[in-house]
Amino acid sequence: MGNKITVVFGSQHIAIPEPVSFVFQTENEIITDVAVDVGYVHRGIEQAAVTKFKFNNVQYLLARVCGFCSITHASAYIHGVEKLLGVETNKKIDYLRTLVVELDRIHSHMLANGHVAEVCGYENLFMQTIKYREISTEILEIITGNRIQYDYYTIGGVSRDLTLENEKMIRTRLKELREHVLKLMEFFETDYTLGLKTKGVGVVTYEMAKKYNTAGPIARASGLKTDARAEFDFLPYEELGYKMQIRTEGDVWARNMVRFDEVLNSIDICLNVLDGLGEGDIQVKVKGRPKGETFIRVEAPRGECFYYVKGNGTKVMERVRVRVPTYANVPVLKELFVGSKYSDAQAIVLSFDPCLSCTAR
Amino acid sequence: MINPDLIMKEVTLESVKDEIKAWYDENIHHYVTVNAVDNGDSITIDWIFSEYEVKNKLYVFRAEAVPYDAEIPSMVDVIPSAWLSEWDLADMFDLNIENAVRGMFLEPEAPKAPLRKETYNGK
Repeated sequence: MGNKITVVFGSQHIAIPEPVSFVFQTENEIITDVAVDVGYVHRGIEQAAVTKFKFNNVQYLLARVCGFCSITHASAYIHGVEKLLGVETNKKIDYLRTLVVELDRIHSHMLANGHVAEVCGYENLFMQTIKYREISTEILEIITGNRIQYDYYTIGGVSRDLTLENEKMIRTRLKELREHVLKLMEFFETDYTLGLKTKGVGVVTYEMAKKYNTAGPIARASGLKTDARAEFDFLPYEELGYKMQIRTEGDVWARNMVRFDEVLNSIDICLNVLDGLGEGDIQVKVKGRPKGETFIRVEAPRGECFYYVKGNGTKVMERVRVRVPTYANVPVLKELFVGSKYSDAQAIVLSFDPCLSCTAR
Repeated sequence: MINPDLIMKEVTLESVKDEIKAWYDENIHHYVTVNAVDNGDSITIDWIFSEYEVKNKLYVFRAEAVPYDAEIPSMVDVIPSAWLSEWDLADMFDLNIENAVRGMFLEPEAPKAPLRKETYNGK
């Protein structure tokens, strides 16, 4: 007869930055069952989008769904509205949008990996990762005016252009960031003790990833080839050097490494954007009011973000549906816990990089 | 319809589960979500899927004019990850979805069905 204990993990917990609750049933410290609650921060954003704001202001509301991937929500909505309005953007706008979306991915991935290091007991590594992440947030501040929560996307364009001086500085800082990321990757790959905490822990097999329809780095760390950047036309990723990053181990370590791989690829994409930016307007003319419906997929840092956007020809949208990547990843996380050691729960949760602000909306 | 590679299939609540079960292949199809739109007097429900490694492909199984009090089948038997999006819709539209647990997103004292037009239009 084992030692059965119920362990309540969250909704407020020192390891997790956002409110989520897992109630674990454990036997000899092995998790045998779990109940999950992800709805602590519901703010009624989908309702507000169709009642409180005109369609050309809704992107500013949706950017507040989440601080870290705010550009994802604004971009998904705006791509939807632009489709309904028949707006065609030019190359410069697409490139500038890609630049900010990828910088957003870099700072989100760096934070996620830093958090995993922290819960594994590596506080200094966490500090180092966050220090290097600052490079991406500084660049974002220069481009958009804000370190996070930037309202850069506008319907038909972007809010600011880049100066030549800024372009030069961004190139230098991105190359500097790449060197730091390579050093961090080397540490994550070779450190023995960190390996004990992350390798072979919380394994999502390829079969589980498919069965539970996982998304983002969690899916790609299990060998499942899915990425909205490859599966949906929303920004010119193919010409900018996007490459899908795949690992097959499926554990906490692989999820971290996929994020680092993607940071390196995002840096390449950003540099290619700067190389090919050229001249052009940063705003095209937009006329009319959205009418009809459209389905949009974009790749947030945490995975595929899906939007359904419906307009009825008035100033106010008929329906805005937000399906965030954490939605796709919570079901497999719940299954994954069963059979795991309770002591691994923190690293497993943080390696999923759950965003509860997005999930509850 | 703006998505050129979208394949829409009209379904009924009676047939949707069998149709998705017969069609869905987890090696090919990726379940995205279940969505609902309030028409003012009924609900439209979409079960939305994409296809791995195929660009722009979306499949939508659409049930139109679903009464508010209809019994909506759960897809969890076919797609084990579908429960969270089903619970979400059950809360937000006060829908009767098979086995959906209420209260994950709304507190007990919160207004019911916040995404129904009759709720936010104050009727």
